[in-house]
Amino acid sequence: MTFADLLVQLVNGLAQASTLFLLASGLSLIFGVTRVVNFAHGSFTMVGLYAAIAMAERLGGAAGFWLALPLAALAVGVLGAVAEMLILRRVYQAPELFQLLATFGLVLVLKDAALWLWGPEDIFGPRAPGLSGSVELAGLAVPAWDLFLIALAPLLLLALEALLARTRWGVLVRAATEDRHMVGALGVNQAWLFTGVFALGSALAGLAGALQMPREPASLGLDLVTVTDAFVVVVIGGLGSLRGAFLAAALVGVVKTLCFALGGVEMGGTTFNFSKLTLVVEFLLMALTLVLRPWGLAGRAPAAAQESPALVEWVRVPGVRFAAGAGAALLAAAALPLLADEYAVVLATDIAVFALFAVSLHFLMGPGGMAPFGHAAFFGVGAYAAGLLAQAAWPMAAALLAAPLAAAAAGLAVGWFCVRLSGVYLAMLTLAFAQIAWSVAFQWDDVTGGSNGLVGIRPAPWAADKAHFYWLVLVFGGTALALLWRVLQSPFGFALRAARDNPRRAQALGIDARRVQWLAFPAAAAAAGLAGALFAYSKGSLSPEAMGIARSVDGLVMVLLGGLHTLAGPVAGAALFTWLQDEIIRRTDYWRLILGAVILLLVIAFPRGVVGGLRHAWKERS
Amino acid sequence: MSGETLIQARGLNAFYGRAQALFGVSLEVRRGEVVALLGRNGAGKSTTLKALMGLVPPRAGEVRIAGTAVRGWAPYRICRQGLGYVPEERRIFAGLTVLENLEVGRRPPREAVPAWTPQRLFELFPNLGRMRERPGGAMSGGEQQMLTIARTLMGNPLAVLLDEPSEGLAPVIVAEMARVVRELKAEGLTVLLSEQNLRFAAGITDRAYVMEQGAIRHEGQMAQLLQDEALHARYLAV
Repeated sequence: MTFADLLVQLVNGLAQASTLFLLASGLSLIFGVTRVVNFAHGSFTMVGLYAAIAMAERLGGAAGFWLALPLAALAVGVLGAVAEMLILRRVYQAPELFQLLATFGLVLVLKDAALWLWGPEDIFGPRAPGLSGSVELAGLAVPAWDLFLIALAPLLLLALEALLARTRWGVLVRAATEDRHMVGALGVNQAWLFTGVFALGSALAGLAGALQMPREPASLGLDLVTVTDAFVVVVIGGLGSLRGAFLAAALVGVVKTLCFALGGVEMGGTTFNFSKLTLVVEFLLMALTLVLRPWGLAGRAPAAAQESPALVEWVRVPGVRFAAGAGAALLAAAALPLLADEYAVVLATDIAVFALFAVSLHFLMGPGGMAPFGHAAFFGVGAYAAGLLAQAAWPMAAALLAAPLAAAAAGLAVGWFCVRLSGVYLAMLTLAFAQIAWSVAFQWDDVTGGSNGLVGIRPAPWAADKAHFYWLVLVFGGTALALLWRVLQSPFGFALRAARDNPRRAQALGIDARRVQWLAFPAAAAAAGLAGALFAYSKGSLSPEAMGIARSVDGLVMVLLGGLHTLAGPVAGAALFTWLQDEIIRRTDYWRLILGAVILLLVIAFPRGVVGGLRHAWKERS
Repeated sequence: MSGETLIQARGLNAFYGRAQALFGVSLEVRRGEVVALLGRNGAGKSTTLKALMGLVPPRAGEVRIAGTAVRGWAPYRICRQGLGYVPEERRIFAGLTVLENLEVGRRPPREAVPAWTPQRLFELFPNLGRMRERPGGAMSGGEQQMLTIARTLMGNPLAVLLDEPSEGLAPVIVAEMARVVRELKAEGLTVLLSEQNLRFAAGITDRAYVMEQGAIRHEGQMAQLLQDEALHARYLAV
């Protein structure tokens, strides 16, 4: 490649960085004030792009294009404000992760709303009137629109900084970012402040989408890709720092395009293909940043925890009665194949597999007090380990024992990095590892089969029957559950909860809090890996989706639906979620809309999770 | 001492989770009074102030601010009704300058009370006037304590709740704090403060309530209270 090509790629990368900055600044503002990790941020971008294209066509002409940009941003800002008032306002008192669940419900609803409004096909937007050509720069043809975007980002940075520094609203926003309860006690109605911040952040996301009109078509897949990019940039830059986001956006945009531009490079006799890194490089950057500078390039360590009501939830460690109940439930579940048809048995197998996955995630979230966003990585490692061993003609039983070990090894490695962080940063680092694992599976064609995945993962003949396999899952899953339960009652389990509730005090008691939390990772990962291995055998084939973001999010939804502070919660959540998804998908194309709406209703009605909520209602009554 | 009742509480019960922290607390503060809540650590003084402010919403009882029943209101509405709150932990906005901290507290002027401006506050707190652009995080503990009071005054409150104003401050600053409270009283401001430092409270307050285990055990004029040795030994001595 020539120097000129590199320069063109650099411009492309910086143009992309502009968009990333817009996205990240909105996300960062919203998080700073409301403490909500807004999963729907990417959906707002998607809606912004669709809306801008529709408006530009309706209005027509050059004026139509230029008017569509602010109008789309405005429309998305209003959408964000409405979402905040109708949904988030009701869940601010709930634990952080419930808010995340609510925004994920919003993602599903918005995706299907876009599908209904604009259809499944990609839609191409108009090119920018007056800026559709290219500009001669050092003898090179550079797209004028890219230059426009590059110029826009610093201007917006300055405008946002001025807004925050020089207006009363900006001062209130900064104060609320530090201590929103105190701002309330000083007479500021937080509700409107939050709504305003949400509207501004969403409008920025919408504008970022609208500005993509000449660059890429509107598509339904934009939401999750976009929001992950935005997370990465915000975390690299440091939460709450606009300048950090600006720097990080430039870094990510440029490094990404450079990898693409470098292509295959000869190194020590083998060709290393850099373009394959594009999917993973931003996550590598994020992991590196979090390890070297835990609060991001320009971020500050979070202030000591503020008093926030209803956040500390204890986890009941159940006694013998629970064990007896669980045993009885397991026996009842085992009777299913005698009573129901094969369809129900297959569904029940799925439920059992995901219940194990959810329980393993809950182990880290509830007793461990950590919130991994990338738990599917362990599920996927287990699944791929089983798949590869099956292809190497290992017997199923051996593969089912080896897979959890592989996942535990991954957990040991990932956990070592993760326990150095906490809160959102920990969540993001696990997400980074999961994305790295995903892209390895996706791009290492020779071993993992790439996007085609692995096929022909057949259970042993004695377990080939659906009912037999279901019983096998119950036995393995039940054993893993019992082991995790036993661990919680061991001194290790108590140390884990002590480290969660008060790491300093735990340390004063001689507990190595970080080490205890670290060791929780391989335990949870082994259980998740077992679930993955069982999943691989039950389906007979595997694709990288097994460890995609959606799988991680499914796990979070299951755990949060069930409720954090009970051990039965994740099982109930997994059953409810898997069953709902199956029921709805069978009945309608708009299953996301319904699932999303159900999630939103559940979160608003049961901010403690379904099982926790029922238990609470029962206690209040008696 | 004959002014109207600005703060009135009757039978307040408050809880942290399932633990009851206040048991039927009743008190009243009249316009222009400076009243102290005395008692040991954990007696319920701070909780009483938080309950009045709506920060720990009382589950039973009645709170009236300038005659209006406000129990169940959000803190921002109680603030707008005329109650100012100065937290024990100060809770300065560390990334904001002195002037910006004051701006957060600013509310529209109120009839009957002269409006506070940064200029007037810098006369009361000359130190703050010399560091208008300094970030809150770069100030000493005493300066931060003054800034929290100034920030609350920017809301032009009718009455102010001061939570442990002398706690953790050097003796010189405690004396400065006493001067400030006296000047505020002279301005006609009404103050309800919680305090463990009896000597500090004695110099500035008219009346006091003595708390123990979440309930008010004694009420009286400060002068009488100071002479009651038995009372000291029982509720206040460490």
